[in-house]
Amino acid sequence: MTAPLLAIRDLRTWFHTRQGVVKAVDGVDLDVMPGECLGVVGESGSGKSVTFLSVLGLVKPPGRVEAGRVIFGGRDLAKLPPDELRALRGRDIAITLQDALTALNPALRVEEQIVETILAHDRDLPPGRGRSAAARAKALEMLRLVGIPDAERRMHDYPHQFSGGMRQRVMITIALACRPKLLIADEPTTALDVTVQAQVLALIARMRRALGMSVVLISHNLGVVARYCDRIALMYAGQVVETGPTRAVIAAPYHPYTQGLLRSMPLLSDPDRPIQPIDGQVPDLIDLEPECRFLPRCPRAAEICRQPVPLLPMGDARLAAVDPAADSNEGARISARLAAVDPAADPNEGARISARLAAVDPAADPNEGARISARLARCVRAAA
Amino acid sequence: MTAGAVETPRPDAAPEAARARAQSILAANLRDFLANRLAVGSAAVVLLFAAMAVFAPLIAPHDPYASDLFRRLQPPGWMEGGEWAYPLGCDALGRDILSRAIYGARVSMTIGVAVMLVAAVVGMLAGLAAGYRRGMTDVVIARVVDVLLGFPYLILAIGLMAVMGPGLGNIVLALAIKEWVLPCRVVRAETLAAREMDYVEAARALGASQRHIMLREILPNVLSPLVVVSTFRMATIIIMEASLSFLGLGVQPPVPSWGSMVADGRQFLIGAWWVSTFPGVMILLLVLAINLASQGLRDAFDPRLRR
Amino acid sequence: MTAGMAQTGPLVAVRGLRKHYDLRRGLRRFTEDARAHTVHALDGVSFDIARGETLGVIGESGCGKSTLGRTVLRLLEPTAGTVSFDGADLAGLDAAAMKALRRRMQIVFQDPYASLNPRRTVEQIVGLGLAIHARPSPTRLRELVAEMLGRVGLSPAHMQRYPHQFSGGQRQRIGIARALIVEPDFVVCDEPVSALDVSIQAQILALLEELKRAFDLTYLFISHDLAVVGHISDRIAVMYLGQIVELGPARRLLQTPAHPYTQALLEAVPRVDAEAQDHRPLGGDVPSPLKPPPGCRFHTRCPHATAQCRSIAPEHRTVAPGHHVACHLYEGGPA
Repeated sequence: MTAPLLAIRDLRTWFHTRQGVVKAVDGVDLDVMPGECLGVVGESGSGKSVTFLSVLGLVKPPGRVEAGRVIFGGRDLAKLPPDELRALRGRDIAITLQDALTALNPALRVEEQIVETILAHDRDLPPGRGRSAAARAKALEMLRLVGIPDAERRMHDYPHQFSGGMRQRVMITIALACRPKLLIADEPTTALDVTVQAQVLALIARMRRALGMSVVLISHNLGVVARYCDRIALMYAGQVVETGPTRAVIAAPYHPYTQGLLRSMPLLSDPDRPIQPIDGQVPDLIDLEPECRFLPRCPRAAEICRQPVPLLPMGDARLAAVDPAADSNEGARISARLAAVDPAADPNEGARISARLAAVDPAADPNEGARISARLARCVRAAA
Repeated sequence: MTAGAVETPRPDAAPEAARARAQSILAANLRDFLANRLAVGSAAVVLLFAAMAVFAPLIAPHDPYASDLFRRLQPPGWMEGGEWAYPLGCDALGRDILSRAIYGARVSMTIGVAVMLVAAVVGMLAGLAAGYRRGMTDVVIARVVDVLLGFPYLILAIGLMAVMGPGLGNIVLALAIKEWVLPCRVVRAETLAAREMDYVEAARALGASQRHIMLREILPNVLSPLVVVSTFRMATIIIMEASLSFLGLGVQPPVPSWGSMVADGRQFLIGAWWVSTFPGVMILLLVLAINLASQGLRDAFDPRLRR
Repeated sequence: MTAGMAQTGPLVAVRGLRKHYDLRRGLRRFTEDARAHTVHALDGVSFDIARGETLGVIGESGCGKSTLGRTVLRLLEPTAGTVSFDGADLAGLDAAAMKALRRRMQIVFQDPYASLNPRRTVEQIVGLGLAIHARPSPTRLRELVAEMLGRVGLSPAHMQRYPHQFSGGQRQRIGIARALIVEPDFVVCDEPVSALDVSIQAQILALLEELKRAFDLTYLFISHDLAVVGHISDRIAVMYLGQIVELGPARRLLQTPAHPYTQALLEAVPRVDAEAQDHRPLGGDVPSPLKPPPGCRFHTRCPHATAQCRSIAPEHRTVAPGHHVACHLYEGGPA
């Protein structure tokens, strides 16, 4: 199994406001594999943006990363000195923001903004006199690559002289100027029209292939993620509730939230299908009970849902924070997939797991079992 | 890298549980203001000055007009040659400085409040008209505002006072002629913003009258910034009045005014510093208190203006 | 519809509607050339809306769809063209008649924050229409507001609260209650779910559908989201740069779009319910409505554009019963 490029473990980012502690991100585990496109989907307040701002160390007060580890390329980002972390941002991990107009500096020409990034991060530039000329050439090359027509002339323009779609391209250019290993695209197309959105998303997909980088596409639009991402992670109220291969998750979602989301969307292929809204609203992220956060809106809520919910492996690299007891078939399916759960790690933990998972089949692949149990142990710890 | 704005998640996802009671913005703003100790303290100081003005005859130990030439330039009570019956000493005519300073608050507060009110009302009406009716009304008002802004404030006031002659009413008029411009600009900008809001469109779609839209939909939304800017300007007005009185164009002697008291003491600054200093300190205290209190108001009532 | 009234003819008939904005402000009116500063927000739009129908209007930003909704309601004065409501030409109505008619045509807005006055209570906001038209006693008004709040899924206990105490979805319900309390016949829904999260979007869509049945409403439903429009509409009009380029029955238009722009729009929508299609996104941006291109306005981005498209504006042609398209490709009968 290849190591993930980015591994997030038990991340907790809380905002200390006057009204109380807003647990915007509360125990998130995510992996991004080299070269893959991970779609992170959630409604506003689900913590999808804050998760990745935390990864980059860009959370501002009153927000604070309370716990968790972020491992990028084998290095723990929390242990990096600030200047190395800064160097890493932009060079190895780049981010594009939703609102390109405010994210770009209105007083600087586009060229200067790209050249600035290249000069700050690119190690391949020739030293001395040729340095800025080389950076300039590189900027032009990138602008052409992202498909800005007449790039030579347009690079001397200011951000406000570009249309929304072109601005988003410029921001992607800046993000990709140093050929990062990971691009975090935070709602790159939310402000754009459908036809322009398609252009920008196609561009990101093309650049991913060309540069062999990983992409995290953060979006509230399940359709966008379904079309462009290999893997998907659904977030709800600060937690990941389901993750897995995009096709599989959309074809047969396990989590009631994912199911509800899909049932509540009008479909172009079947416009007359009745839509079934999810009742209620996202919970206040202050003073949360340890119970499942979807509980108040869940059509399948049961007594066991009052307990903390771990992400359970559902096979095929799928995890869903569902309760196996809610549906007996589902429980059986999980149990069948789970091999040897290691009860030695911690007696309580083992007991809790074994209590949850009725019949564990010891016949399956031992490695898979070890992996799952390690994961489960961590999940249970995180939830506790 | 371009990574700046971090969106703080709004904790209002489910307001249901958190705040069960109905609460208007006004109430919330007031609560914010009352939580600001510096601002509340400053407001208390301003109120103290107001009380001093209203109850001057009861508070003042002496008649502010009674001159006693034997006490000419008598030092404050704690200095040699001073006596505690006249704690802040006496001026060149032997009048009690403390009593005159207390009476002086009457002039400053009256003019400050009067000019502020006149300017706020005129500015509000002009601003509402310009912002809501737009077109020629807006063009005309905007030009008048531009012209008035072009005049240096003090010189305009001096000129007007010279033409109209002294007197309390004339001071109010001379200051208010320019003072309404700022509330007007604030109200016009807020009105322009409010009239484009969908809730105004919704009222029109329901067939609401222009009067309803201006008074019920727009006006409540421009009041907060109007109050904020008006209180803030009151400090400037008080300084302007003091300046006019200092120049001898304000309230005429023997009526005590801080500005003219400072002027009176000018020539004795070396030997009898107390004559000018105490009225000066009064101006400083009141202006500072007004500024701090209005800053608190601004923070509580108009969070967009913060920092 | 009120019982007993003539039930013939369309409820809303729009003919040749134009709305141009002059961007020159104040004294610049005398110093600048009019042509370079006129936005062609609507340029010759015609359609009917039948009683009880939902007509969806789809288009990208700047296509004039919001201007259309407001001009139809005469919240904006059209530059040219007519709007008839239930047979009456709105331009010919005096102020009193117009005010009376306002009760019958209402609007629901996109932005749940800008559409409610932050200084007024829910009771004042929702009760405004009653206070203007029916003028009931305060007690009766309160009863009616409470009843209406119940209809849109809010508790009457919310009446004395202010808008900032509600979430986006709840605010949208308040906006709907304000529009429906006067029992209108016709409601313009201007992107009513665009600002909401997916799960809340579905709640509001379902509510609008339910209320349409309950109150016998006719909708003009404006949105940029094809799936939403496709779901709620009986017929769909596709707008591009101030003009309707295609108009037809919803299902037919989505399955066999005729205009190249509609086809491109449908292709560009990312869907969860389809395999990743291999598509070529439409190039370029929407041209500025300050200077729309001559001929067919879509020719600058159209993959099928010919010399004819660049010079002559296409007429509307019928490609199937009730399905019209403005495109030269369909010259001489259905292609």
